[in-house]
Amino acid sequence: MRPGLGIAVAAGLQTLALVGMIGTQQYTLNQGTPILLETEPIDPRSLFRGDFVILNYAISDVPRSLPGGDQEWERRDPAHVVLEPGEKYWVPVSIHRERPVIDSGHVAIKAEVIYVGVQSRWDNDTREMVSGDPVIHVRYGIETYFVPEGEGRAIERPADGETIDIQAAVDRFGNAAVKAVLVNGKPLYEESLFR
Amino acid sequence: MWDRVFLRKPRQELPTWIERGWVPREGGEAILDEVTARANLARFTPVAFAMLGALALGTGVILFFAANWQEISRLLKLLVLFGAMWTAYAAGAYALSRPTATLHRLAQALLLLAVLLFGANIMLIAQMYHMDRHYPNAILLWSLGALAVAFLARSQPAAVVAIAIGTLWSGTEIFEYKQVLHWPFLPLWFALAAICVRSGWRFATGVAMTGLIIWSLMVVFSWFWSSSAWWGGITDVAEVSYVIGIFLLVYAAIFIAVVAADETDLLGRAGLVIERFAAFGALLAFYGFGRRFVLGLDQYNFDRVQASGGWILATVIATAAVIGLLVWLRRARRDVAAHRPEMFGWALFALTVAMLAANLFIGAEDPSLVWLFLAANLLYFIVTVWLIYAGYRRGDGFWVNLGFAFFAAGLVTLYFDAFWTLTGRSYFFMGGGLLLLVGGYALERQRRRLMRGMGGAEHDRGTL
Repeated sequence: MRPGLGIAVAAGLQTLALVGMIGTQQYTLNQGTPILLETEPIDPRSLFRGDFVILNYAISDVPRSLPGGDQEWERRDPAHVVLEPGEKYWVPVSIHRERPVIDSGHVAIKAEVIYVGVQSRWDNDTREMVSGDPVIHVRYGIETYFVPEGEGRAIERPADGETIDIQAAVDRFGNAAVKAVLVNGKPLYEESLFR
Repeated sequence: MWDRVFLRKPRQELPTWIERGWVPREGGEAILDEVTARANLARFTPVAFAMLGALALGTGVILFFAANWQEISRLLKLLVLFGAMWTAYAAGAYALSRPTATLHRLAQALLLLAVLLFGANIMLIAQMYHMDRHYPNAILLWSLGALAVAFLARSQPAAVVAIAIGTLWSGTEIFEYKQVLHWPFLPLWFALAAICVRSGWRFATGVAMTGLIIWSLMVVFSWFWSSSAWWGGITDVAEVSYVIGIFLLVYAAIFIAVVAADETDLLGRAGLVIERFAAFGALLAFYGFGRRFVLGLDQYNFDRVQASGGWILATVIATAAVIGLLVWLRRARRDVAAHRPEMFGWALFALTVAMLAANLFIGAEDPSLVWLFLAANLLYFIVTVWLIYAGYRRGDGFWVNLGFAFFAAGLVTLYFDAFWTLTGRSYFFMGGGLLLLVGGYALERQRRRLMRGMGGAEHDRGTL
């Protein structure tokens, strides 16, 4: 193969790979089931890294008491969490090692176990972390969101009376992506291909 | 500045003067070398300024975009990212199409830049579109992209990047995601090593072998750490010696295979590089095997267990592979009588296999463990001395230096291993320190004498 042709093929393959990255993300956003997720304040002792937001969800802590699913978990285990729509937000139903067959109206979202322990919550009144129920803390790959510099802190730690919700999409393979960041129900940031 | 006419004259006239005997050949060659070096220096200065200027301009452009990144639309960002990468590839292709060697070197630099831009594009696109899943996949994608350039564009710099990034990928999987024995690294490594060997790239082959050794070290270290409660106790620390033993056999097999392949020049210029790195890897494994904490003899003793069937089978398979390769090598050299260093090497290998086999069956509280420790270290030192002698006999300084280096390393480590817990430690430190000072001086003198004795001749292929 002539060197020039080889370079062109290599550049083409790399371009395809990059376009594929964008394409798979857009597929999840466009074809996935939209779900609304409740965020929770993060531990303010964690460092705010540059200009991206660390998001913590109510569904990040999957109660161990949930019936069905698998019970034995270790750090870094892959998992699938089944969610169903609640009154406003989607809530976890069960957690599985293999992708389960799900009922209509449910979604199964891919996750990774971070730790198995006791749930910790930030108490705004006492201004400290408090312990709760035994949980499996997982990560869905939608815990970071890049925002313009200086605007992240307000999202991580909303003011009193403010609610920060995340509208996400989950495709049929279990991949999730953030569609929009909502403040008091109104979109602050919305995802699109070129915006 | 040198006058171009003055530089041209000696080049034109000197061959004639040498032929007529007016100027000695050595003097004439020295004059030509000096003249050529100064001419290159004269041409180097404007090139250096041009490179600095290009670097400054490029840095300025990058900083401009970085300063205004958030104001730029996503579409424009993508155009900038893809445009920069394609421009580097196009410029590299153009430079490669020209007949000048200088432009070919520039082409390789541009291909390297394009590969680095590909990696940057992966990270920036992941940031732009908020992709935050299994991040080692991004590193793997970068390595695969570099592999494609190395193969399709015959680029050694791209191969080096692919190996380095691939090793980093494996490291993140091992230490971040507890993939203790990260097998997927090996197919990637084999593909890259094959490209390097086929292309005759000695430097990239060396980097590939370095990557393999680093991966081996990561596997061993992670085996230690993964036995801890923090990692979940997914392995047994008593198995580390079995892992090291298998690595010793694997590197020995690679060494023998390359020596055998060298009989038919199958691996070309890269064969010598692989041979030497494989020997280094085997010696490193041997060095690690004889440590107190590996064999379970130190103050933080763990309960050794006899090896399970899986470990015995793995060791048997690795040993059988080495023996098979040794037989193949002997048949390839059937016309060459085995000389004494080679036969002694066979004997040492047999003893090494016996040592590794014994390790599989010694459990905790077994008094044979101390004998195994002593035998392992004694055998280690015999191997290093054999290397020094065999290297001297063959006139290859590499083996002499390798033997000396590992001999010294083993001596220093054994000193701390053996005398650390004894009372009256200060006397042993003073005595041992004097021994090291005198012994180190004597060793270095002996090494230099051996090297001088080999006459500084060109090293041959160093087959033992």
